[in-house]
Amino acid sequence: MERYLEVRGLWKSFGPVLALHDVSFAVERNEFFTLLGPSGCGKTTLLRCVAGFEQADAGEIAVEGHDMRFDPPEKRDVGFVFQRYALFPTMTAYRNVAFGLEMRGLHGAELDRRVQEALDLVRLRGLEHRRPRELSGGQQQRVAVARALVIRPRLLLMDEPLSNLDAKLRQEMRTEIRRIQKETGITTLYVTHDQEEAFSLSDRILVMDAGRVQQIGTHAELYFQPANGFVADFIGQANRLPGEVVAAQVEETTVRVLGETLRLPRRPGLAPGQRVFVSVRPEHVRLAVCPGDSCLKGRVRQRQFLGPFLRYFVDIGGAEVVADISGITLDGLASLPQEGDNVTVGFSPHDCTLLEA
Amino acid sequence: MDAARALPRVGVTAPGRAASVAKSWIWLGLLLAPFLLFVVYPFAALVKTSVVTPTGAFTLRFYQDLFAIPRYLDKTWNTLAIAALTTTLSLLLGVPLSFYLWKRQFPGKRILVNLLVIPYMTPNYILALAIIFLFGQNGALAFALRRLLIDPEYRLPFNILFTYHGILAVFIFHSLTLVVFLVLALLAGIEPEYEEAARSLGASSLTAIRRVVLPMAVPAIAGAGVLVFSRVMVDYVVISLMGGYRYATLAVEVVNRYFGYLTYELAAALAVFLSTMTMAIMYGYLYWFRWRRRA
Amino acid sequence: MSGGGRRGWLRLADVMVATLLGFFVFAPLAVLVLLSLTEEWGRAFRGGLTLRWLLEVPNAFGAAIAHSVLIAGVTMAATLLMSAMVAYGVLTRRVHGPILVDTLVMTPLTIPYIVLGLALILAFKAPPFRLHGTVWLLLIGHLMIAMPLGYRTTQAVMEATDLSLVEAARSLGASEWTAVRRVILPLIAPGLVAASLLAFVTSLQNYSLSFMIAPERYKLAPLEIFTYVFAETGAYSNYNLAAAVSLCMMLVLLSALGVVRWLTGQSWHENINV
Repeated sequence: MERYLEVRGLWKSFGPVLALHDVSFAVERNEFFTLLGPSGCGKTTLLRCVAGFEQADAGEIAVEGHDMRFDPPEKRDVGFVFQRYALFPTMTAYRNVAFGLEMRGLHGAELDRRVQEALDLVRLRGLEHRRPRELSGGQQQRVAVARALVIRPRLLLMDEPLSNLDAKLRQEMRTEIRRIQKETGITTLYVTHDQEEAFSLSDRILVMDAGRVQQIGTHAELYFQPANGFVADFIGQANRLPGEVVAAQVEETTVRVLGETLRLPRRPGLAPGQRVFVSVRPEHVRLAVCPGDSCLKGRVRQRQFLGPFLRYFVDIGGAEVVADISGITLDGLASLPQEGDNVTVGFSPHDCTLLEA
Repeated sequence: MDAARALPRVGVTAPGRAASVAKSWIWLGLLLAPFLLFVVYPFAALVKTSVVTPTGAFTLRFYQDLFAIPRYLDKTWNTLAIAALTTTLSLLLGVPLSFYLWKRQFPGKRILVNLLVIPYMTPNYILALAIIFLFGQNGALAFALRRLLIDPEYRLPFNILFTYHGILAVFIFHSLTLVVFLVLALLAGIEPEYEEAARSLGASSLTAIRRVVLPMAVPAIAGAGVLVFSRVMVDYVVISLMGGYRYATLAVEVVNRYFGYLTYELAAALAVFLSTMTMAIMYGYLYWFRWRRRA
Repeated sequence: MSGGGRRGWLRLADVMVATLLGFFVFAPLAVLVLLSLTEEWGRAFRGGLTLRWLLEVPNAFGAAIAHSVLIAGVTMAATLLMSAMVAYGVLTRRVHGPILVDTLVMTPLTIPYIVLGLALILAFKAPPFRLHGTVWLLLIGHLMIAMPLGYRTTQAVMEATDLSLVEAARSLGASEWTAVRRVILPLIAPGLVAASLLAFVTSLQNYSLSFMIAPERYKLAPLEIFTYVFAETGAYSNYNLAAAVSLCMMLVLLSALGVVRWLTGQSWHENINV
C-alpha cells in the first residue's frame, strides 16, 4: 500500500477552541478520500491545513514523503475547490482557468491547449468567455473544478463543493466529479457533511467529530462495523440499546439488554459488569417473528408509510426501537402489525455491533 | 373584519385607478416643486445671464472670453491640476495603505480605522485651520522647535500659508482618509477565499492581491478618485484661506468676478463651465459604473 | 531574509502606519484642544491652562452660533417632514423613484455650492421673487443642499423595509393607517431621524453656500471663525478663540454623527455626503 499523502499527529487550536486533536491518516495514490463529519467538527480546518491556508500547531503533512507543513500555499501544488467557488469575478471563465498556468509561466499555444483540455474535461466548451456571474451555479462549479485541475496538482482538495447547488444538480455533479476523478486519476481529498455524498463518491472515508478521527474505512466498514457510538449514529440510522456485559467468552459476549439476554459475537476488551450499547440498524430489525435468542417484546407506538418501506417505532420497556420493514405490498399492509399491537422485536446477532458506553 | 379591505390592493377598479394616478402626480409635484423652483429655475437663470448681453441680446462672447483670455485658462488649468495632483497623490498613498491595513493585524488597528471618521468628517476649513496651527510659522511645530533650539528667531524651512504645497497638504490630509475609508469598506467585503484560490494556483501573496483583489477593488478606487477630484475641483474655502489668489481655481474666480468686479455675466459663464465639468465627471462615473456592471 | 527579520520589518511597518493614521486622526483635534485650553499661543504649558477661551465662545460667537443652529434646525425639521412624505409615498406606491425624479432631486449634490449660490442670487435678486439679501434665500439654499440627503437616506431605508409587513398587518385586521403607524413607523423612524440629523450637520458646517447668499451682517458660525484668524491687523487675530469655536463645532458634528451611526447601525461612510 503506497502512502501518497500522509498526515501525522496534527494539532490545531483557534484560541480556546481545539479544532484538530491529534489527527493522523494516510491517503493512497489515485484515491478518492473523504473527510466526513458534522459542521464544526474540524474537517474544513484539516483541509485548509493541507492546502496551507492555516498553519497547524504541531504535526506533519507530507506528500510523497516531503513534509510541506511550512510551505506557503503557492508552493504546495494543490488544487482547491471552494465551497462558494471563489471564481475571480473580474476574469472570464477562460482566464480563471488560465490563471494557475500563467503563474507557472505557461503562455501561448501550450497554455491555450491546456485550458481547452480542462474545459473539455468539465464539458464547458463554448462558455469560456463568460464572466462568473453570467454562469449558472453548476457551470461555476465546473469552472472551479477545471481551474483546480488544469495545473495538474499533486492533490485535489474540495471543500463542500456541492453544498450550494440544488438537489437535482447536486446528484448530477456528484456523478460528474467521480467521472472526472476517475479519468484524471488525481488523488482527491473531499470534505462534506453529507453521508450520501461521501458514500457515492469515495474510496475511503474518514469520520471526524470534535476535532478527532472517529473512524477510517470504506463505506461498508463504516456502515456495518461502526467503531463507536458516534459513527453508528452519524452514518445512517441506528438503534442504540443500553445493556450490560454478563459474560465474555472466547466466541461470544453475553449481554443483558432491557431484561433480555443476548448472545452476540465477541468484542475484545469488554469485562463482565461493563455498561455497553448494542447498535442495530432499523432495516435489520424484524418484527413479529423471533428467530433465535436475541428477541425483545414491545408495543407499536407509531407506524409510518414511507414508500419503499414501513417505519415502526416500537416501545420496549421505556426504550424505543426503530424498525424499517421493506418488501411490502398493498395486500400485505393489512397483515403487518398495526399501531398499538404487541410485537416481538428481533434481529440477527451478526447485524449487531457492541459499543462501549 | 371586512375581508375585502384586508386584501392587498391589486385589482383596483378603473375610477379608483384614475384617482390613484392623479394622486401620484400631485405627490410627485409636491416633492419636485421645491427643486424645480429653487434649483432648476436658478440654474436656468444662471445660464441665461451667461448668454445675454446687458442690452438683452444673445451672445456667446463670455464663453469665448473664457477660452481666449489667458487669465481664465490659467484658472481652469489650476483647477484641473490641483484636483488631478491631489487625486493622484492620495490614491498613490491611500490605496496601498488600505491594502496594508486590510492584510495586517496589529493592536489598536480597529480603533484607529474607526476613528478615521474624525478627519474624514472634519469640515475642510477646520482642517485647514488645524494645519495652519500645526505647521504655520506661528504654529505648534515652529514653537516647539524654537524652544528646543533655544532660538526665538527660528523659522520653519517651509511655508504653509500662501504656498502651493500648503494647499496641497490640506487637500491630501482630507482626501487620504476618504480614500482609505472607501477602499477599506470595499475590501472588508471581499472574502479571503479569492486570495486563497489564487495562492493555491501558485500566485504569491502579492501577485494574488495585484491580479485578483486589486481588479475587484477598481470600482471603489475609481469612485474614491472621482469624489476626491470633484471635491477639490469645486473647492473655494481652502484655497481662499491658504493660498490667497495666486493659485485661484475656477470656484475662487467665480466669487472674485462676482464680488470683486461685479461682472455677473463672466461669473455666470465661469460657473456654468465649472458645473458642466463636475456634472460630466459625476455622471460619467455613474454611467461607467452601470455599464461595467452590465457588461 | 530570515523569517524573524521579516517579522521585525513588518512590525516596524505596523508602527509607522499606526503613527501615520494616529497623526491623521488626532493631530487636528489635539491642536484645537491645546489651543482652546492654553492661556496664550506660543506659551503653551508655560502660561498654564485656562477655560477662558471656551467660556468666551458664547460671548464672541453667540449670535453666529444662534443663527447657524436656527438655520440648521429648520433645515432638519423640513428634511424630517420631507423624509416622512417620501416614506409614505413609497409605502402607498406613489413614489417609485423613476430615474428622472431621482436625478432631479439629486441635482443639488452635483452642482458646486459656489455655483448654486450664484444661481440663487441671480434668480432672486430682482422681482418677481426678490429674496436676495434675506434670510429666506439662505434658508432655501440650505434646504436644497440638505434635502437630497434626506431623500437618498429615506429611499435606502424604505428599500430595506419589507413592505409586505403592511399586508401582513392588514390581514390581521389592522387598517392601513394603523399598519403603517404600528408596524412600519417603528422600523423606519431611526432611519428618518438619521436622515434629518445628516441634514442638520450638512447645514451647520456649510461654508461656501452661506458665504455666497448669507445676508450682510447676518453672522454664521463657520464664517465667523475666520474673522479671528485673518483679521487685517495681527492684533485682532486670536488663534485661541478660533480654535475654541472650531472645537465646539467639531464636538457638535461628531456627536450628531455618532447618534446617526447609533440609530442606523450603519458604518459611517454609508450615510455621509461626500
